[in-house]
Parts: sequence; structure tokens; C-alpha cells
Amino acid sequence: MAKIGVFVCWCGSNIAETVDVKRAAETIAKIPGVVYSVDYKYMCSDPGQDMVKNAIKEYNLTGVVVASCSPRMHEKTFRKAASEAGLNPYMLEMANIREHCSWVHDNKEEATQKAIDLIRMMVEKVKRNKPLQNIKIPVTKKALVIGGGVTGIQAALDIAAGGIPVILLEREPSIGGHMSMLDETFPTLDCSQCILTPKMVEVAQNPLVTIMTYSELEKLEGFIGNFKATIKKKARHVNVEECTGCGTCWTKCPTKVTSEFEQGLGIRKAIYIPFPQAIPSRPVIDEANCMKFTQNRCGICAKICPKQCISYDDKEEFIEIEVGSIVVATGYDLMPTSAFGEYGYGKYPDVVTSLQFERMVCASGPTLGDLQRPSDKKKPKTVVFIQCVGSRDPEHHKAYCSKICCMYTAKQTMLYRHKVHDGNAYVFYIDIRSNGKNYEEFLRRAQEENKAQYIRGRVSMVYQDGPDLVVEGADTLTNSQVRIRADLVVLATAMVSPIGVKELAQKLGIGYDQHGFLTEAHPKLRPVESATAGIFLAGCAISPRDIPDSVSEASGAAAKVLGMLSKDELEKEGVVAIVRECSCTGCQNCIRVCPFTAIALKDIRDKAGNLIRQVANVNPGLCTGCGTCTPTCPSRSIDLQGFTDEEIFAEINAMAELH
Amino acid sequence: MLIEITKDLDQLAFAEVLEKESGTDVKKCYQCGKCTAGCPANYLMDISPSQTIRFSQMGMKEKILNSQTIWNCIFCETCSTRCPQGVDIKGVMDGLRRMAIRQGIRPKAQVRNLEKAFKDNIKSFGRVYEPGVVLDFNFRSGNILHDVIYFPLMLIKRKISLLPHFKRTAEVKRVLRKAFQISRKAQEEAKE
Ligand SMILES: Cc1cc2nc3c(=O)[nH]c(=O)nc-3n(C[C@H](O)[C@H](O)[C@H](O)COP(=O)(O)OP(=O)(O)OC[C@H]3O[C@@H](n4cnc5c(N)ncnc54)[C@H](O)[C@@H]3O)c2cc1C
Ligand code: SF4
Ligand code: SF4
Ligand code: SF4
Ligand code: SF4
Repeated sequence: MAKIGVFVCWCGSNIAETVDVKRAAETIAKIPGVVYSVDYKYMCSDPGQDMVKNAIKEYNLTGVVVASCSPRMHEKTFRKAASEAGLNPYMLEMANIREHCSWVHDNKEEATQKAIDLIRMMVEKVKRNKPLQNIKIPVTKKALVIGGGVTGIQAALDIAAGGIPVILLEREPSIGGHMSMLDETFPTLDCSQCILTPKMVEVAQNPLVTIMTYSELEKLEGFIGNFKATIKKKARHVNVEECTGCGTCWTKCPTKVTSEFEQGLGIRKAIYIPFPQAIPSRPVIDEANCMKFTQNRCGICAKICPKQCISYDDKEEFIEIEVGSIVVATGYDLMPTSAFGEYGYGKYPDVVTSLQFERMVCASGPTLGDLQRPSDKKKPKTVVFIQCVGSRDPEHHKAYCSKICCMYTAKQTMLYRHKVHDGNAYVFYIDIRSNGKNYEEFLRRAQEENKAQYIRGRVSMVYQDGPDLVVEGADTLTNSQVRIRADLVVLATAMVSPIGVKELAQKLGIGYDQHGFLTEAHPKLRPVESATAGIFLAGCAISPRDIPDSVSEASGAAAKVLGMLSKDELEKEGVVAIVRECSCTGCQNCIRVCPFTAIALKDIRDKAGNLIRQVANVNPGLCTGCGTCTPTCPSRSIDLQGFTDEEIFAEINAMAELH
Repeated sequence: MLIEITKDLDQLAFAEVLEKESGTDVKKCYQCGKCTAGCPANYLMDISPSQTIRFSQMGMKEKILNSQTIWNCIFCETCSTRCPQGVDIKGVMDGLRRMAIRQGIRPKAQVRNLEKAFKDNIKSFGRVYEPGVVLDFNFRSGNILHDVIYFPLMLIKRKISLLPHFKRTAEVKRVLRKAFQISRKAQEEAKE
């Protein structure tokens, strides 16, 4: 027989002014099963909580209703008090007679009646409540970082600094990402390689970090604290343990391929390391171009390798790893320039992208920093930079601002003027966004000291005229059209989400926006978390940003990972869905609607191991208790514990009986 | 309007000449419009002060040297005082006037009349005697009653006085003579 205690709170005058709390408590006392009913000025105060605890003990209460404020406010408080008195915390419910009653009504008579109704509903519910246990989830103390750009490297270093082993996954042959391609970086003009390489070496030498390059995530199963990831290691054809990186193979390889790292401006071999400081400094064979694979001839590299570590028969491998938490740092790509016919990219060799320009001025670039334009190797005397190429153009391309092109264009005008002192640098822009520490000052320097000429307007077209490129644009500040004869045109193309990130996000079960950038759990308050527990985000994978922002986020995500993995077990509320297997038909309705992919089919087998049928099965680690599944089940076989059909109907009936 | 930028053109050459002439670097202007916003003479200008700076940045010399703006600027310095980038716009206006004169560009008769009236006035009185300037200007431009209607109110408000105050006239005359000499010499030198 239920023994329910009811505690009606005044909340000072917040409730008592509008609700006759005394009458409410007295009326409720008459409901069958209610053995104790009382009102008090502040239930949440220490004496108030003591009243609850004492009554539980004294009257051997089986259930408690606290009629006060919203459960968002104090459910935790009162449930804790109940469990301290020996009652299962889920046997305590709150009736919200403040937000739902006293604050929104002024007629005391009606408000009192409504309060009584609300309390009566909760009494009927709590009579049917079942004790629930919090769910404890064991934690694998290991993390996975996907993407080996500066963001991923920083996240891995910070997680390792907290004593947690990390796997750093990179799909290219080397870690380093885009930062390794840059020349000098704004706003301090320090050389990108000089600040990145030490970090790359540090992460490679850290005993807690395992770097897996030329590898991708194939599959992810499990849930927070207990992920099981399948990694695909692409066939490298080089025994990384034996190889010393001596370079004999790539020196002798006869097959020349345009280098992705050099943005098509340089040459690599079919067996190659992407750049001299690559980590690991071990080559890979590019099957698409190697003659051994395309024509089954050559085979020189295997013959000449002094350590005999080349094997053409290597196959891709699949490796399973278990991790507790994941950071996604897959970065960005530049928008394919084929989209911009009007700027003549691809048609005219001297129209280049911003990343190509970085390689053209970089001391480790294909010309060792001697700036030459691609067509005739001449030093460009006039360079036109075009900003917002593809960005801020909702009609044709991307609506968003790529955030960093203003700054790197200013930087590139400086780098250019440092190479060609009497050169002319023109920049077409629509607005300048220089919102960072020392950024505006940097921009002013580009314009005042380095004499970059800023022209406010977009460019309509670029065409070739003899050896020159002619750029036709506008300067809205003088209300003129502008026609510039130039040697080189640099396009600040939009930053976009890299190929394959949407598929990756689907494997991870995390969200992405219409542009393929990953979605934060909350754009302001949870900026480095995905909506899926245990998976964090950082860097340009979320949206375009510069190195300082990327690195800060990497450290932020690492702190979240460490916070999570510092515990031995994760605890979550027992309010999760449960399937009644005897009546479940395995129709999979619930599986389709669950927003957290928490439900899967489970095999039911007989003693001999024969499959009899399949039923839905909820993974309590993943279930958030949202309740989406329950109304979709045609046989009413899935129910949400803590909010079962029986409990909810009891509430509704309690109200219906009265009216 | 079309601005042609050829390769051998030094787009900033004019800005640099102007910097020598006026002592201010127009490259610093970021076109915020603060100068135009506060200019009391903007209504008399065909190109606003900020646009004058922009045209200078873009090397559009002919356009500004032939503008009315440079002559109608009253040198109040509101712009230069307020410019967040420290551009001395008034100085630029001044420099542009000198460059224009050296090129043989003359302001409209009205501007010349006012200048003459002003110069003669300080020559005779040692300082500005406003009713004198206005009357002289009105005689020169043949519109004797121009603005006379404002006289009584300005008198009452003590913005002007009926009689001139003489202040060390001889000394001022000497200073002016010297100044005109220097300026003539500079102009002759510039012509050679
Ligand atoms: C022309 C140019 C100049 C710039 N100059 C500056 C500057 O001067 N100063 C500055 O602060 N910023 C600059 N930036 C911005 C800077 O490049 C970025 O802020 C920074 O590189 C972002 O790092 P990231 O690690 O987030 O992304 P990335 O560098 O793109 O790294 C992401 C990594 O993830 C890998 N990856 C992607 N998808 C997968 C997958 N599915 N599985 C495994 N791995 C994957 C990629 O191969 C890559 O290695 C510039 C950008 C450009 C385009
Ligand atoms: S300036 Fe012209 S092209 Fe640009 S947004 Fe306005 S109307 Fe469109
Ligand atoms: S309650 Fe929500 S999260 Fe849990 S199984 Fe149902 S739909 Fe999925
Ligand atoms: S000095 Fe000339 S340009 Fe500047 S505010 Fe005064 S009148 Fe206008
Ligand atoms: S106030 Fe200064 S910076 Fe602003 S528009 Fe005028 S000259 Fe340029």
C-alpha cells in the first residue's frame, strides 16, 4: 500500500500570495494513500529538506511529492534529500505550482484549485513510480583525435599532457595539415614551418601519442566512454619500421606527379613524402600513378631500397581500437576554383589561389622562395589580390564569410612587397575584417608601410592580353570602374569543408550544417562539443578560423576530454527507454526515429543457437530519455522508464476524474 | 568613370608628391567619413573632403585639382582635428591649392574676389574687420546687398562690430609684405 507524503511550499510569498497553500495541503491529505501532507515557507531550505527526510523515516513513506517550483530548479535538491533518507530518488516527484500556477494566475480561488489538481496528478503518478537506478558507464581512458592539422596536433599534445593515451589519425601521408603549407603567418609574420615543426616533432616523440597517418575512420560503434573505432590503414607499401627515410627510392623513381602539397606548382614522385619535414618521414606509394600498379612494370624502388622495405603486395588493413572520447579536427579545404570562370582560374596560368601564392613565396616552396609567376617565371611587378572569392555570395556560392582571407591577403601583400620592393600590390575587397589582437594594426601596416593599395569593390572579370592579365573591377569609393594590367592575380577562395567530412560525421553520428561544417552542441556555451556525448570538435572543422582560434579550441576540446576521462565511471540518469521483448515485433519504427541512434536490433536465439526473431534493444549509454520512440511503437512495447505510459495515464486520469 | 592602372604607372606617385606638398600621408585614410561628416563647407563642395582624399589615393589628380572643393574649403581644421587616422585633410586642401596654382588653375572669380577682399582688409586693419570684407567682396562681385540682411542681428549678438579695431597695423603690414614676397618667390621658382 502506497504511503505518500506531500510537501507544499510557499516560496516566501511567490506561491502563498496566489495559492492558498494551507487549503491545498489539507485537501491533498484526504486523497487515499496520502499519509502526510504539510505546508512550509521554504521547502528548499535546510529545515524544509529536513522535514522531508524526517517524514520519510517517520511515516515509512513510499513516495514523495514536493509542490513548489519547476523541477529544473530543485528536483536534484529534493531527490538527493530523499535518497539520504533512504528513499529511491526516482520515487520523488515535483508538482510545479509556481511557474505553472502562482506566477501566471491572479485569481486566488482558481489558482488554489489548479494547484490542488497539479499536486493530485503527481500523487497519482508517484504511486505508480518504480525505483530506478542511475546508469554507470565504464570509461575507456584513451582518446582518438581525427585530423592531424595544427588543431589535431595541439589537442593530442594537451590530452597526452593530462596522462591520457591518444591516437592521432590523419588521412594524408603526413601530419601538419594546411599550416605546414604556409609561408609566414599573420599577425606576427613568424615562419609557419618554424613554429609548427617543433610541435610535429613533439607529438611524434610523445610516448602517449600514437600517430596513424594514411589512415581513415572506417566505422564507429559504441557510445560515450566506450567507443569502438575501426581504422582503415591504407596500403603504404613501405615498411615504416624498417625504412630510414634515406630517400633513395624517391630520388630514383622515374614517375613524376604534380605535388598536392605544392598545390600543383611542383613535382613529386610516385613514391614520395609530401614535404621534407613530413612526419613520419617515411614515403608512401601512390598507387594511382606508380607504374608498378598502372602498367605492372618499373619496380625500381623495391630493387634499390637498401633496407628492402618496399612491398607492392601490401593491402589495406583494418584495425579496431577502443577509445572513451573523440576530438574531430578535420579542418578545411579551399573551394575548387573551377567555379570561378570569370576570374580565369585554370585558363590562365598566372591566376593562382592564395595557397598557391603561399607556396610561391615560401622558402621551402617549389622555387625556394624566389617569386616567379607560373607562365614565364618572371618576377611579377604588379599583383592583384581578389578577396571574397566564393565567400559572401549567397546567390552563386557561399553565404558565409571565410573569416581569415582579409588577414592573409594583407599578409600576402606584405610578403610580396618584401620580395619585390618596387612592386605594386592591389587588393579588391568589399569589407575588411580584422578582428583579432593586433590584426587591425597589422592591416594598417600593410597599407601604410607596405603600400598595398586597397580598392573597394569586386572584380567582374580577368582576361589575358598578351603577357598581361587585365583585371576589371570597381572602386565604389570613387564610383569608378577600375582596369588594372597585372602580372599575377591571387584569388582568396572560400574555405570549405573538406571532401569526406559529411560521411565521417554520419559515421560518428554528429551533426553538420548545409555547408558541411560540423555543428556545435551550443554555438556560444558549448562551442567545442558535438551534440553526441563524448565527441568534441575543434578548429576549421567547425567553420573557418585562424591558427590562434584553432589552437585555443584544440586546448578547449582537450580539457573536455580530460575532464571526462578523469573519472573511472560516468553516471547518468536512469530515465532511459526499455523494450518489452515478448511483444516487440522488430518493426524498427523506434530505430528509425531515435535521434541518438540508441536503438538497435537484437537477436533472440533458442538454446541451439538458432535465430528465432529480432527485437529492438536500447543502449542505455546512448539513450537520452527524449521519449521520441515510445509513441511510434505499434505494439506499445517500448516505454520510457520514469515516464511510463502507466504513470502518465495516471496523471491524466487524476485530472480527468475531477472535471 | 574608368580608372586605368597600367603596369608602369606608379599609382601612389601622386600621393607621395602630395605628402611632400602637405606633409600628410593620404595612404593612412581608411575612408571612415569623419572629415566629411563635420565639414561646415561641405555644402559648397563638389567632392567631399573624404572623397578628395580617396581620389588622391587613387592618383586622380586632374579631378581634384579642377574641383571647387579645394577652393571652397575654409581651413577651419575641423576635419584634421577629428580624423582618427591623423590625416591632415586641411593640409591636403592647402597643398592641392598650391599645386593647382602652379599648374595655372585659377579658382572662380567669386573665390578670387573674396581672397582679395580678405587680403586688402588685413593689410589696412592689421586684422579682419568683417563688415569691411563683406562690403568689399560685395562691391567686387557687383551684388552690393548680398548678405547685408544679417548685419543687424550679428551686431546685436556682438558677432561683428560696427567699427574696425586697429592692431599694430604697421607691424602686421611688414609681416604680410614679407609673406607675400616669400610666396611670390616660391611661385617663380616653381615655374622655372
Ligand atoms: C592561404 C592561407 C593563408 C593562411 N595564413 C594564415 C596565417 O597567416 N595565420 C593564421 O593564423 N592562419 C592562417 N591561415 C589559416 C590556417 O591555415 C588555419 O587556421 C589552420 O591551418 C587550421 O588548422 P586545422 O588543423 O583546423 O585544419 P587543417 O590544417 O586543414 O588540418 C586538418 C587535417 O585533417 C585532415 N583530415 C581531413 N579530413 C580527414 C578525415 N576524414 N580523416 C582523417 N584526417 C582528415 C587533413 O588531411 C588535415 O591534415 C591561412 C589559410 C590559408 C588558406
Ligand atoms: S553593388 Fe551592385 S552588384 Fe554589389 S551588391 Fe550592390 S547591387 Fe549587387
Ligand atoms: S528515449 Fe529517445 S534516445 Fe532513448 S531510445 Fe527512445 S528515442 Fe532514443
Ligand atoms: S578644413 Fe576644409 S575640409 Fe576640413 S572641415 Fe574645414 S572646410 Fe571642411
Ligand atoms: S576622417 Fe580621416 S580617415 Fe576618415 S575619411 Fe577623413 S581623412 Fe579618411
